[in-house]
Amino acid sequence: MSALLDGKLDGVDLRAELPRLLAAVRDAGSAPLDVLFAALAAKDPVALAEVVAGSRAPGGAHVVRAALPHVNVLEATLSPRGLYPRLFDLAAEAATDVLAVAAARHPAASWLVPLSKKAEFFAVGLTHLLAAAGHPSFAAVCRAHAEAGHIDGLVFAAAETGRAEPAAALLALDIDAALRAAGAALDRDPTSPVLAHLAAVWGPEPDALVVRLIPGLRSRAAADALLAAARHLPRTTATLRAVLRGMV
Amino acid sequence: MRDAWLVGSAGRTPFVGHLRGARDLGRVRLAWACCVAGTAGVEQGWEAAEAARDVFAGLRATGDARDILTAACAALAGLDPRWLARGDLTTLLVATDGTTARAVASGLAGVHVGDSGVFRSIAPPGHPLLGEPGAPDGTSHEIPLAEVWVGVPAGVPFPKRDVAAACGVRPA
Repeated sequence: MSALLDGKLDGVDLRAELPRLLAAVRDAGSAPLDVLFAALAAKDPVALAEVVAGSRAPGGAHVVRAALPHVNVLEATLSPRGLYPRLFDLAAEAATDVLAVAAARHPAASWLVPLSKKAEFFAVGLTHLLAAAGHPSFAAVCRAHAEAGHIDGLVFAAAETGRAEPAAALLALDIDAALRAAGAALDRDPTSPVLAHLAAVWGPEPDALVVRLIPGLRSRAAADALLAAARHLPRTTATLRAVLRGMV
Repeated sequence: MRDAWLVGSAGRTPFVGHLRGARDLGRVRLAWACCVAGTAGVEQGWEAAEAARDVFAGLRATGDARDILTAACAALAGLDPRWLARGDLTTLLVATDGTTARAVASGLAGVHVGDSGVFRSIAPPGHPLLGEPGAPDGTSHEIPLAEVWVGVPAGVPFPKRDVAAACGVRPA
Protein backbone atom coordinates (compact mmCIF):
# COMPACT_ATOMS: atom_id res chain seq x y z
CA MET A 1 0.00 0.00 0.00
CA SER A 2 2.52 2.58 1.10
CA ALA A 3 4.66 1.82 -1.94
CA LEU A 4 1.78 2.92 -4.14
CA LEU A 5 1.17 6.05 -2.10
CA ASP A 6 4.88 6.76 -2.41
CA GLY A 7 4.44 6.77 -6.16
CA LYS A 8 6.48 3.63 -6.73
CA LEU A 9 4.73 2.35 -9.83
CA ASP A 10 7.60 0.63 -11.57
CA GLY A 11 6.48 -2.82 -12.62
CA VAL A 12 2.87 -2.16 -11.66
CA ASP A 13 0.30 -2.96 -14.32
CA LEU A 14 -1.95 -0.04 -13.50
CA ARG A 15 -4.97 -1.24 -15.46
CA ALA A 16 -4.82 -4.72 -13.90
CA GLU A 17 -4.02 -3.33 -10.48
CA LEU A 18 -6.69 -0.66 -10.57
CA PRO A 19 -8.76 -2.23 -7.74
CA ARG A 20 -5.66 -2.25 -5.53
CA LEU A 21 -4.92 1.32 -6.50
CA LEU A 22 -8.48 2.40 -5.70
CA ALA A 23 -8.30 0.62 -2.37
CA ALA A 24 -5.01 2.31 -1.53
CA VAL A 25 -6.52 5.71 -2.21
CA ARG A 26 -9.71 4.88 -0.34
CA ASP A 27 -7.75 3.70 2.68
CA ALA A 28 -5.20 6.50 2.59
CA GLY A 29 -7.02 8.55 5.19
CA SER A 30 -5.19 11.82 5.53
CA ALA A 31 -1.95 10.44 4.08
CA PRO A 32 -0.57 12.59 1.26
CA LEU A 33 -1.67 11.59 -2.22
CA ASP A 34 0.29 14.14 -4.17
CA VAL A 35 3.24 11.85 -4.94
CA LEU A 36 1.00 9.04 -6.17
CA PHE A 37 -1.13 11.34 -8.29
CA ALA A 38 1.93 13.01 -9.79
CA ALA A 39 3.32 9.59 -10.69
CA LEU A 40 0.00 8.51 -12.19
CA ALA A 41 -0.29 11.74 -14.14
CA ALA A 42 3.11 11.10 -15.66
CA LYS A 43 2.70 7.38 -16.28
CA ASP A 44 -0.99 6.74 -16.97
CA PRO A 45 -3.45 9.65 -17.07
CA VAL A 46 -6.33 7.26 -17.72
CA ALA A 47 -5.58 5.44 -14.47
CA LEU A 48 -5.44 8.77 -12.66
CA ALA A 49 -8.83 9.70 -14.14
CA GLU A 50 -10.26 6.36 -12.96
CA VAL A 51 -8.92 6.91 -9.46
CA VAL A 52 -10.12 10.47 -9.00
CA ALA A 53 -13.21 10.67 -11.20
CA GLY A 54 -14.13 7.19 -12.41
CA SER A 55 -17.27 5.31 -11.55
CA ARG A 56 -15.53 3.61 -8.58
CA ALA A 57 -13.55 6.65 -7.45
CA PRO A 58 -13.64 6.89 -3.65
CA GLY A 59 -13.98 10.67 -3.70
CA GLY A 60 -13.75 12.90 -0.69
CA ALA A 61 -12.26 16.31 -0.19
CA HIS A 62 -8.76 14.97 0.41
CA VAL A 63 -8.69 13.00 -2.83
CA VAL A 64 -10.19 15.73 -4.95
CA ARG A 65 -7.90 18.43 -3.57
CA ALA A 66 -4.92 16.21 -4.39
CA ALA A 67 -6.28 15.74 -7.91
CA LEU A 68 -6.83 19.41 -8.70
CA PRO A 69 -3.15 20.17 -9.50
CA HIS A 70 -3.43 17.59 -12.27
CA VAL A 71 -6.53 18.85 -14.03
CA ASN A 72 -4.55 19.67 -17.15
CA VAL A 73 -3.74 15.96 -17.44
CA LEU A 74 -7.26 14.91 -16.50
CA GLU A 75 -8.75 17.21 -19.13
CA ALA A 76 -6.81 15.29 -21.76
CA THR A 77 -8.76 12.21 -20.72
CA LEU A 78 -12.18 13.60 -19.81
CA SER A 79 -14.04 16.54 -21.26
CA PRO A 80 -14.20 19.50 -18.86
CA ARG A 81 -17.99 19.34 -19.00
CA GLY A 82 -17.80 15.79 -17.68
CA LEU A 83 -14.76 16.11 -15.43
CA TYR A 84 -15.64 19.04 -13.21
CA PRO A 85 -19.23 18.15 -12.37
CA ARG A 86 -18.00 14.65 -11.51
CA LEU A 87 -15.20 16.00 -9.31
CA PHE A 88 -17.71 18.37 -7.77
CA ASP A 89 -20.03 15.51 -6.87
CA LEU A 90 -17.14 13.62 -5.26
CA ALA A 91 -15.55 16.60 -3.54
CA ALA A 92 -17.64 17.03 -0.36
CA GLU A 93 -16.31 20.15 1.38
CA ALA A 94 -13.82 20.72 -1.45
CA ALA A 95 -16.64 21.44 -3.89
CA THR A 96 -15.92 25.15 -3.95
CA ASP A 97 -12.27 24.37 -4.76
CA VAL A 98 -13.46 22.45 -7.81
CA LEU A 99 -15.67 25.32 -8.87
CA ALA A 100 -12.82 27.80 -8.50
CA VAL A 101 -10.44 25.71 -10.59
CA ALA A 102 -13.08 25.04 -13.25
CA ALA A 103 -14.02 28.71 -13.47
CA ALA A 104 -10.41 29.81 -13.71
CA ARG A 105 -9.70 27.36 -16.53
CA HIS A 106 -12.98 27.62 -18.42
CA PRO A 107 -14.50 31.04 -17.74
CA ALA A 108 -16.73 30.91 -20.83
CA ALA A 109 -18.23 27.49 -20.07
CA SER A 110 -22.01 27.46 -19.77
CA TRP A 111 -21.98 24.37 -17.55
CA LEU A 112 -20.46 26.51 -14.81
CA VAL A 113 -23.83 28.19 -14.34
CA PRO A 114 -25.65 25.12 -12.96
CA LEU A 115 -22.47 24.05 -11.16
CA SER A 116 -22.40 27.44 -9.42
CA LYS A 117 -25.96 26.93 -8.28
CA LYS A 118 -24.98 23.62 -6.68
CA ALA A 119 -21.78 24.96 -5.12
CA GLU A 120 -22.64 28.39 -3.82
CA PHE A 121 -25.29 29.19 -1.29
CA PHE A 122 -24.53 32.90 -1.07
CA ALA A 123 -24.05 35.14 -4.09
CA VAL A 124 -24.49 32.26 -6.51
CA GLY A 125 -22.32 32.70 -9.58
CA LEU A 126 -19.81 35.01 -7.97
CA THR A 127 -16.83 32.65 -8.33
CA HIS A 128 -17.55 32.13 -12.01
CA LEU A 129 -18.26 35.80 -12.66
CA LEU A 130 -15.04 36.93 -11.02
CA ALA A 131 -13.07 34.36 -12.99
CA ALA A 132 -14.73 35.51 -16.23
CA ALA A 133 -14.27 39.22 -15.60
CA GLY A 134 -11.08 39.33 -17.63
CA HIS A 135 -12.42 37.16 -20.44
CA PRO A 136 -14.15 38.29 -23.65
CA SER A 137 -17.13 36.14 -22.69
CA PHE A 138 -17.89 38.19 -19.57
CA ALA A 139 -21.04 39.84 -20.91
CA ALA A 140 -22.39 36.47 -22.06
CA VAL A 141 -21.52 34.90 -18.72
CA CYS A 142 -23.38 37.71 -16.94
CA ARG A 143 -26.43 37.10 -19.13
CA ALA A 144 -26.32 33.38 -18.45
CA HIS A 145 -26.27 33.96 -14.69
CA ALA A 146 -29.03 36.55 -15.01
CA GLU A 147 -31.18 34.07 -16.89
CA ALA A 148 -30.53 31.58 -14.09
CA GLY A 149 -31.71 34.15 -11.55
CA HIS A 150 -28.36 34.61 -9.83
CA ILE A 151 -29.09 38.19 -8.84
CA ASP A 152 -26.91 38.50 -5.73
CA GLY A 153 -23.92 37.00 -7.51
CA LEU A 154 -24.22 39.57 -10.27
CA VAL A 155 -24.59 42.48 -7.86
CA PHE A 156 -21.58 41.31 -5.86
CA ALA A 157 -19.61 40.80 -9.06
CA ALA A 158 -20.34 44.39 -10.04
CA ALA A 159 -19.22 45.56 -6.61
CA GLU A 160 -16.03 43.49 -6.77
CA THR A 161 -15.00 44.31 -10.31
CA GLY A 162 -16.52 47.70 -11.07
CA ARG A 163 -17.74 46.24 -14.35
CA ALA A 164 -21.01 47.39 -15.91
CA GLU A 165 -21.97 44.14 -17.65
CA PRO A 166 -23.70 42.62 -14.58
CA ALA A 167 -26.05 45.60 -14.41
CA ALA A 168 -26.84 45.37 -18.11
CA ALA A 169 -27.52 41.66 -17.82
CA LEU A 170 -29.86 42.20 -14.89
CA LEU A 171 -31.98 44.78 -16.72
CA ALA A 172 -34.06 42.11 -18.42
CA LEU A 173 -34.65 40.32 -15.13
CA ASP A 174 -34.89 42.81 -12.29
CA ILE A 175 -34.55 46.54 -12.79
CA ASP A 176 -33.96 47.33 -9.13
CA ALA A 177 -31.20 44.74 -8.96
CA ALA A 178 -29.71 46.16 -12.16
CA LEU A 179 -29.62 49.59 -10.56
CA ARG A 180 -28.00 48.17 -7.43
CA ALA A 181 -25.36 46.55 -9.60
CA ALA A 182 -24.81 49.75 -11.56
CA GLY A 183 -24.42 51.77 -8.36
CA ALA A 184 -22.08 49.19 -6.89
CA ALA A 185 -19.96 49.22 -10.04
CA LEU A 186 -19.69 52.99 -9.93
CA ASP A 187 -18.81 52.96 -6.25
CA ARG A 188 -16.04 50.48 -7.00
CA ASP A 189 -14.82 52.24 -10.15
CA PRO A 190 -16.24 55.70 -10.88
CA THR A 191 -15.03 55.39 -14.47
CA SER A 192 -17.16 52.29 -15.04
CA PRO A 193 -19.15 52.75 -18.28
CA VAL A 194 -22.51 51.95 -16.74
CA LEU A 195 -24.45 54.45 -18.83
CA ALA A 196 -23.18 52.94 -22.06
CA HIS A 197 -24.11 49.43 -21.00
CA LEU A 198 -27.49 50.33 -19.55
CA ALA A 199 -28.46 52.40 -22.59
CA ALA A 200 -27.40 49.65 -24.99
CA VAL A 201 -30.02 47.38 -23.44
CA TRP A 202 -32.62 49.88 -22.25
CA GLY A 203 -32.86 52.32 -25.11
CA PRO A 204 -31.68 55.68 -26.32
CA GLU A 205 -33.20 57.75 -23.51
CA PRO A 206 -32.04 56.19 -20.23
CA ASP A 207 -32.61 59.30 -18.08
CA ALA A 208 -35.66 57.96 -16.21
CA LEU A 209 -33.77 54.75 -15.49
CA VAL A 210 -30.44 56.24 -14.49
CA VAL A 211 -31.95 58.77 -12.11
CA ARG A 212 -33.18 55.82 -10.05
CA LEU A 213 -29.68 54.55 -9.32
CA ILE A 214 -28.64 57.75 -7.56
CA PRO A 215 -30.05 56.88 -4.12
CA GLY A 216 -27.91 53.74 -4.10
CA LEU A 217 -24.61 55.53 -4.67
CA ARG A 218 -22.31 55.41 -1.67
CA SER A 219 -19.39 57.60 -2.70
CA ARG A 220 -19.00 61.17 -3.83
CA ALA A 221 -16.53 60.04 -6.47
CA ALA A 222 -19.21 57.85 -8.03
CA ALA A 223 -21.73 60.69 -7.99
CA ASP A 224 -19.22 63.12 -9.51
CA ALA A 225 -18.36 60.64 -12.25
CA LEU A 226 -21.99 59.96 -13.03
CA LEU A 227 -22.68 63.68 -13.23
CA ALA A 228 -19.87 64.08 -15.74
CA ALA A 229 -21.09 61.14 -17.83
CA ALA A 230 -24.77 62.09 -17.78
CA ARG A 231 -24.56 65.52 -19.33
CA HIS A 232 -27.45 64.77 -21.71
CA LEU A 233 -29.67 63.28 -19.00
CA PRO A 234 -31.44 66.29 -17.45
CA ARG A 235 -33.30 64.55 -14.63
CA THR A 236 -30.19 62.70 -13.60
CA THR A 237 -27.97 65.77 -13.62
CA ALA A 238 -30.51 67.87 -11.70
CA THR A 239 -30.92 65.19 -9.05
CA LEU A 240 -27.19 64.59 -8.80
CA ARG A 241 -26.48 68.28 -8.29
CA ALA A 242 -28.97 68.35 -5.45
CA VAL A 243 -27.53 65.18 -3.93
CA LEU A 244 -23.94 66.34 -4.28
CA ARG A 245 -24.69 69.49 -2.32
CA GLY A 246 -25.54 67.27 0.64
CA MET A 247 -22.64 64.84 0.24
CA VAL A 248 -19.36 65.18 2.11
CA MET B 1 -46.04 63.98 -29.35
CA ARG B 2 -44.17 64.40 -32.60
CA ASP B 3 -41.22 62.11 -32.18
CA ALA B 4 -38.81 60.12 -34.29
CA TRP B 5 -38.02 56.54 -33.37
CA LEU B 6 -35.50 54.09 -34.73
CA VAL B 7 -35.97 50.34 -34.50
CA GLY B 8 -33.21 48.63 -32.50
CA SER B 9 -31.10 45.84 -33.85
CA ALA B 10 -31.52 42.18 -33.03
CA GLY B 11 -29.55 40.77 -30.13
CA ARG B 12 -28.90 41.46 -26.47
CA THR B 13 -27.73 45.05 -26.90
CA PRO B 14 -30.13 46.45 -29.50
CA PHE B 15 -29.48 50.12 -28.82
CA VAL B 16 -25.72 50.48 -29.08
CA GLY B 17 -25.02 53.95 -30.47
CA HIS B 18 -28.69 54.98 -30.42
CA LEU B 19 -29.89 58.46 -29.58
CA ARG B 20 -33.27 60.05 -29.84
CA GLY B 21 -34.72 63.43 -28.99
CA ALA B 22 -36.65 66.48 -30.07
CA ARG B 23 -36.26 70.22 -29.75
CA ASP B 24 -38.34 73.25 -30.55
CA LEU B 25 -36.28 75.60 -32.71
CA GLY B 26 -38.35 78.70 -33.27
CA ARG B 27 -41.60 77.61 -34.90
CA VAL B 28 -40.10 74.31 -35.98
CA ARG B 29 -39.96 71.14 -33.94
CA LEU B 30 -37.01 68.93 -34.89
CA ALA B 31 -37.18 65.28 -33.91
CA TRP B 32 -34.35 62.83 -34.46
CA ALA B 33 -33.55 59.18 -34.02
CA CYS B 34 -30.09 57.99 -34.97
CA CYS B 35 -27.60 55.23 -34.53
CA VAL B 36 -23.94 56.19 -34.59
CA ALA B 37 -21.18 53.61 -34.54
CA GLY B 38 -23.69 50.89 -33.74
CA THR B 39 -21.25 48.19 -34.74
CA ALA B 40 -18.33 49.62 -32.80
CA GLY B 41 -19.13 48.11 -29.43
CA VAL B 42 -21.10 49.33 -26.43
CA GLU B 43 -18.67 51.91 -25.12
CA GLN B 44 -17.62 53.41 -28.43
CA GLY B 45 -21.25 53.48 -29.52
CA TRP B 46 -22.14 55.46 -26.41
CA GLU B 47 -19.26 57.86 -27.00
CA ALA B 48 -20.36 58.40 -30.59
CA ALA B 49 -23.99 58.87 -29.56
CA GLU B 50 -22.93 61.45 -26.99
CA ALA B 51 -21.06 63.33 -29.71
CA ALA B 52 -24.19 63.31 -31.84
CA ARG B 53 -26.28 64.51 -28.88
CA ASP B 54 -23.86 67.43 -28.63
CA VAL B 55 -24.57 68.20 -32.28
CA PHE B 56 -28.32 68.35 -31.75
CA ALA B 57 -27.95 70.33 -28.52
CA GLY B 58 -25.92 72.93 -30.40
CA LEU B 59 -28.47 73.59 -33.15
CA ARG B 60 -30.05 77.03 -33.32
CA ALA B 61 -33.29 78.24 -34.87
CA THR B 62 -32.18 79.10 -38.38
CA GLY B 63 -35.36 79.36 -40.40
CA ASP B 64 -37.99 76.97 -41.65
CA ALA B 65 -38.07 73.18 -41.48
CA ARG B 66 -35.99 72.82 -44.62
CA ASP B 67 -33.31 75.19 -43.30
CA ILE B 68 -33.12 73.46 -39.95
CA LEU B 69 -32.75 70.04 -41.55
CA THR B 70 -29.98 71.38 -43.77
CA ALA B 71 -28.20 72.81 -40.73
CA ALA B 72 -28.62 69.58 -38.77
CA CYS B 73 -27.14 67.53 -41.60
CA ALA B 74 -24.22 69.91 -41.93
CA ALA B 75 -23.60 69.61 -38.21
CA LEU B 76 -23.76 65.81 -38.35
CA ALA B 77 -21.24 65.86 -41.17
CA GLY B 78 -18.91 67.56 -38.70
CA LEU B 79 -18.93 64.59 -36.34
CA ASP B 80 -15.56 63.16 -35.49
CA PRO B 81 -14.26 61.36 -38.59
CA ARG B 82 -13.81 58.27 -36.40
CA TRP B 83 -17.55 57.78 -36.53
CA LEU B 84 -18.27 58.95 -40.05
CA ALA B 85 -15.42 57.05 -41.63
CA ARG B 86 -17.05 53.81 -40.59
CA GLY B 87 -20.11 54.56 -42.71
CA ASP B 88 -21.91 53.51 -39.56
CA LEU B 89 -24.52 56.25 -39.19
CA THR B 90 -28.25 55.71 -39.52
CA THR B 91 -30.52 58.72 -39.20
CA LEU B 92 -34.08 59.87 -39.32
CA LEU B 93 -34.59 63.60 -38.81
CA VAL B 94 -38.04 65.13 -39.07
CA ALA B 95 -38.85 68.83 -38.87
CA THR B 96 -42.40 70.08 -38.61
CA ASP B 97 -44.04 73.44 -38.26
CA GLY B 98 -47.36 71.91 -37.25
CA THR B 99 -48.89 71.90 -40.72
CA THR B 100 -46.25 70.07 -42.76
CA ALA B 101 -43.38 67.71 -42.04
CA ARG B 102 -40.11 67.23 -43.85
CA ALA B 103 -37.49 64.54 -43.31
CA VAL B 104 -33.96 63.54 -44.11
CA ALA B 105 -32.64 60.06 -43.53
CA SER B 106 -29.76 57.67 -44.10
CA GLY B 107 -29.25 53.97 -43.70
CA LEU B 108 -32.96 53.17 -43.68
CA ALA B 109 -34.82 50.36 -45.41
CA GLY B 110 -38.21 51.61 -44.29
CA VAL B 111 -40.04 54.58 -42.82
CA HIS B 112 -43.38 54.25 -41.03
CA VAL B 113 -45.71 56.74 -39.47
CA GLY B 114 -47.77 56.02 -36.39
CA ASP B 115 -50.93 57.58 -35.02
CA SER B 116 -52.78 56.22 -32.00
CA GLY B 117 -50.66 53.10 -32.12
CA VAL B 118 -51.42 52.31 -35.75
CA PHE B 119 -48.42 52.26 -38.06
CA ARG B 120 -48.17 52.33 -41.82
CA SER B 121 -45.29 52.48 -44.24
CA ILE B 122 -44.76 55.69 -46.15
CA ALA B 123 -41.63 54.72 -48.02
CA PRO B 124 -42.01 52.05 -50.72
CA PRO B 125 -38.85 50.74 -52.39
CA GLY B 126 -37.09 53.52 -54.24
CA HIS B 127 -38.35 56.23 -51.91
CA PRO B 128 -35.73 58.98 -51.58
CA LEU B 129 -35.59 58.58 -47.79
CA LEU B 130 -34.29 55.05 -48.18
CA GLY B 131 -30.61 54.54 -48.81
CA GLU B 132 -27.13 53.93 -47.62
CA PRO B 133 -25.84 54.75 -44.14
CA GLY B 134 -23.72 57.82 -43.53
CA ALA B 135 -24.30 61.50 -42.95
CA PRO B 136 -27.45 62.56 -44.86
CA ASP B 137 -26.84 65.15 -47.56
CA GLY B 138 -29.47 67.60 -46.30
CA THR B 139 -31.94 67.15 -49.11
CA SER B 140 -35.28 66.92 -47.33
CA HIS B 141 -38.56 65.41 -48.44
CA GLU B 142 -42.09 66.13 -47.38
CA ILE B 143 -43.72 63.34 -45.41
CA PRO B 144 -47.11 62.99 -43.70
CA LEU B 145 -47.67 64.63 -40.35
CA ALA B 146 -47.92 62.04 -37.60
CA GLU B 147 -47.51 61.48 -33.90
CA VAL B 148 -44.41 59.43 -34.53
CA TRP B 149 -42.14 58.62 -37.43
CA VAL B 150 -40.27 55.33 -37.29
CA GLY B 151 -37.07 54.56 -39.14
CA VAL B 152 -36.29 50.95 -39.92
CA PRO B 153 -32.57 50.36 -40.43
CA ALA B 154 -31.47 48.12 -43.24
CA GLY B 155 -31.44 44.49 -42.18
CA VAL B 156 -33.93 45.00 -39.36
CA PRO B 157 -37.58 43.94 -39.73
CA PHE B 158 -40.38 46.27 -38.71
CA PRO B 159 -41.66 44.91 -35.40
CA LYS B 160 -44.88 42.95 -35.54
CA ARG B 161 -45.93 44.18 -32.11
CA ASP B 162 -44.92 46.74 -29.48
CA VAL B 163 -43.15 49.11 -31.83
CA ALA B 164 -42.25 51.45 -28.98
CA ALA B 165 -40.39 48.76 -27.06
CA ALA B 166 -38.56 47.70 -30.22
CA CYS B 167 -37.40 51.30 -30.51
CA GLY B 168 -36.33 51.49 -26.86
CA VAL B 169 -39.14 53.88 -26.00
CA ARG B 170 -40.09 53.21 -22.39
CA PRO B 171 -43.07 54.40 -20.40
CA ALA B 172 -42.18 57.51 -18.42
